[in-house]
Amino acid sequence: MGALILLDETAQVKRMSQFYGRYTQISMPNLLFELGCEEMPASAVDRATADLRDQITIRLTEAGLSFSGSAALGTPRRLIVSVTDLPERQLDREEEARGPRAEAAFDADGNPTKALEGFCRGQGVSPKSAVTKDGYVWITKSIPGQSTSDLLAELLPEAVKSLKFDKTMRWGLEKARFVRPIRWILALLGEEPVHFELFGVASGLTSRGHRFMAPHEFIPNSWDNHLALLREHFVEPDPAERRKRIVAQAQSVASGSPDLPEALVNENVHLTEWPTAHEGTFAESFLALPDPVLVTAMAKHERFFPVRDRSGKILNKFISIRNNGDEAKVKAGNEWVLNARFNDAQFFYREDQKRTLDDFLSDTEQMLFQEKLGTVRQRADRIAHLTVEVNQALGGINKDDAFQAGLYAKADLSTGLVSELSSLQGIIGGEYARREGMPEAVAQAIGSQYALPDSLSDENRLGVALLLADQLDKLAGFLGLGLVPKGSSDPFGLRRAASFIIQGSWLTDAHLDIKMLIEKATEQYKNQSISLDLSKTEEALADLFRGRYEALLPNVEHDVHAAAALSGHWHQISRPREYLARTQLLADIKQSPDTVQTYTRPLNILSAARSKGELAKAIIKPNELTPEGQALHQAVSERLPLKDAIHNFFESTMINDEDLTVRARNLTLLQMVEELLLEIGDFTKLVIE
Amino acid sequence: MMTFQNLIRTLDDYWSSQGCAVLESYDSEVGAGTMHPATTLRSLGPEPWNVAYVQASRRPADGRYTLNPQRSQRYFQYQVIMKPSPENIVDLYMGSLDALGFDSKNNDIRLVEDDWESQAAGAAGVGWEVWLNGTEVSQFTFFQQMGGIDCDPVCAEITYGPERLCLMINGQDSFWDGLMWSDDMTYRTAEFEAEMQNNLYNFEVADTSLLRNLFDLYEAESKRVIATEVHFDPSRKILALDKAETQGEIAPISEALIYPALDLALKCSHIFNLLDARGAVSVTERAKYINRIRARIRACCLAYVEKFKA
Repeated sequence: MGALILLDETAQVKRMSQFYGRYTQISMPNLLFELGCEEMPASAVDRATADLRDQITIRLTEAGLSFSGSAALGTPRRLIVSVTDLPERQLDREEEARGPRAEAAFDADGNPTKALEGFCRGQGVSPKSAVTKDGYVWITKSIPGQSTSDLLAELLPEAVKSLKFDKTMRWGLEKARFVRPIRWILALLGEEPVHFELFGVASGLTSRGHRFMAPHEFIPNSWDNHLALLREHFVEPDPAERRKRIVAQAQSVASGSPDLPEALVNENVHLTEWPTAHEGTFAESFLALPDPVLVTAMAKHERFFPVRDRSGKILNKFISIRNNGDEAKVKAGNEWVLNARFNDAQFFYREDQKRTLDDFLSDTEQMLFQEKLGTVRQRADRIAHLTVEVNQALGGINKDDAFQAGLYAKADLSTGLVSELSSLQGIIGGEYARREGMPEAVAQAIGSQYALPDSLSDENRLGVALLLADQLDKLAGFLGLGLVPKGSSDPFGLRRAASFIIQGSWLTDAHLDIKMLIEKATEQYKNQSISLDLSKTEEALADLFRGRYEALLPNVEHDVHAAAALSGHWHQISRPREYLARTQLLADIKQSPDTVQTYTRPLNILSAARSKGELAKAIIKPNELTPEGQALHQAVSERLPLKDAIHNFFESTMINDEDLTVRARNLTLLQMVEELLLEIGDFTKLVIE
Repeated sequence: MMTFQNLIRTLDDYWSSQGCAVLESYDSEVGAGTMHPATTLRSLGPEPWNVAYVQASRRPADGRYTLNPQRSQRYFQYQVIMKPSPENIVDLYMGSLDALGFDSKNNDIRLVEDDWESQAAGAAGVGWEVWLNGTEVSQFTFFQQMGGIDCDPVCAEITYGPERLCLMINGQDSFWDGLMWSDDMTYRTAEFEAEMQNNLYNFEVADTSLLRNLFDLYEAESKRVIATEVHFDPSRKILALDKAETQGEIAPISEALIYPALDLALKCSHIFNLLDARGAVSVTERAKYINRIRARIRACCLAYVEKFKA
């Protein structure tokens, strides 16, 4: 995200300047606002920058203050907002207030009564100005506009306090909370300061430069001047510029090609006010460590960019982005710490190399998965069987590979490297499997079991099967014990597990039947004498899936979801692929209100009959039906388009015929129609405007 | 060459010039300077509190049989507590790096988001890890809670790793190779033998069933002690078990044995750490042990803040 500049409202500016040009010669001052903090979390800066601008402009608009544009920039130590061409004050406005009834306001002689005098005194106007309208007395007050500066003194602190962060804190004696302690506030309207106090800090006219390179205060007099002064003081205020600089410099100093993933670049953008790149080196011997270990230590722990040669092989180089300091000194420090980290990883790696995946697997006998759900080793057996099932359902052929992938999937949890670098679970298992000469498909599946790919291929099918088997085992186990996620509390990640299963099912044309797979997963527990309540699991899954469908398909309207979920029973929504297709079909049909109405008629009439207990089932002989009845019967039997047939049947037939035999026949025919309609969804839930 | 003791002396001098009293290390096994009562208890309550101290820290699971040059099961922390946190606390901290010779012009010093939490102490804070050319040299935390109780006012806690700082200053790589404690003695001479022996003890020799028993005993004793009614007898000016016959005007004041109860809770914490290093604690057991420690520490913290309520 770059500078947030609104280039709108030009028409409004023109209008405003015409207005002021005609009546007065008021200049239009700009607001320059900077909030100086101790270093904010890198992940918080972009949103805080955008939100602060929005919160200020929303409040300006609410106060009736127009402006021509706004801009916002942010660094880890400051949020800067500019609003241009504000009026000096709000316009004066008039407000009417209703007083007593007319007959109570004046006496027989037409003089004001005590009641009217009292009312006028309260409003601060003379009774003479009161007018009578609609049987009441009214007065008009003129309310002078407040000065923009006074309004800003209230609205700027409110805007800051309204900012939302993932986590806030208190400091010192302050009771209020913010993301990090505030150190200075610059608030300038035109050439004048806006005075207020926030979190014990008084606003002023000064800003500060880079924490180390130019820590002193300076006084800017405009947005442009401020940006120029910041740059003179080694602060690049624009995140887009810092990003450009980081990427360009990283590429230019690298002796190969640097990995520049978006998230890591962005983090560096907000860990620096004045970024400069340099390349460092680590001992070549560490290249023997698995690649993911190298990448994790560099990227995740040190925020360095790994460097690769043309063939994609990792070099013993890294790119570091510094905010300050002497290049040689910082580089030496970077190399020192990276070597220390690799040393630590190497210790575990060497220990791990003395053992095999079989050893690690048997160590998981000591690791509890969950008190009542057995050990991680027991889980391995269950996942192995389930992976075979799911792989088959996804069209995979090799049962041995599937079994092996499932069996060894969690073995790496007992390795030294994973206990040290937990984010590498799965990846390390995959690496070790490869080193031990297991089939590539198995190693690949183990290594990718925690991430769902964008599409299914022969190469990643087993990995997807393993991922799904893992989640099925988890859901069957926890939900079967009644451990259901509640509110914001989902300690076992069951919502995520359900999402994985739904999204995984969407990757394939095969209609995965999750109901059947959950039964199989529960059966695996049973084989280990772990008893679970399947009906509890299914009830919880129905809730979980309905919630996940809505979250994963936010563009599908609520009523379409309601229609697709039917009565919301597990068997009705346990095939995600089918659910998706039904929402699409329902959304299409919803475009044609008369189709929806036609489909709704049989459903409504049956529901009424059902609630009266009048629903009989008759045997239908087509030759006893009316021609329209026959046409509908044929459409149902042969699965032909139903709309016109339903329509004609209703138009020609008194469904609740007085002859109960005829009525029963009609209702029976409609039940056949209903059965077909409900294969798509409950049309009565669709909201047609 | 910076010696270990000079590094500590430099920090002592710097922080005492900033108004901190320099305390001594606590005399019980603790996993971090935070468990010193000077932090655990004194971070609570309204009174100003500005101290600095070295704390010998025991983390059995962090041992590497002395094979890793920068990790050991016993090492030192340098801890600063300032309550309420001064407005310029970050600047004060930067001054301490300058005092150590890391001038902020030539080094890359960064405050990187890192929120700290200790489940066992019921403590949570917001702050940073401080990076010096990419190495984490300090933990900088504004305490929000201790013992599950809101800190008000908030103190700043700064924790340095003095061994690592010393290595960095000297451009050395290993605790065990060349790091000097004084001009004449190495860090290795002071610590190595104990480190080797403790590693083997922690990982392979410690008797787990004995440790489990000890945990239960210390826990029970901590519970009993914090529940023991004691009174300040104004006439004798001592704490006493019996309610003194009121001779003077002032009635005896109800008190609690907070420090002894906390010492016993700290024993539990260390024993749990040993069991953990022995690999004798399963996942669910782990959560239960931690909850038990937290309950003991919290009871002490609650009793400690009680006296400020009147």
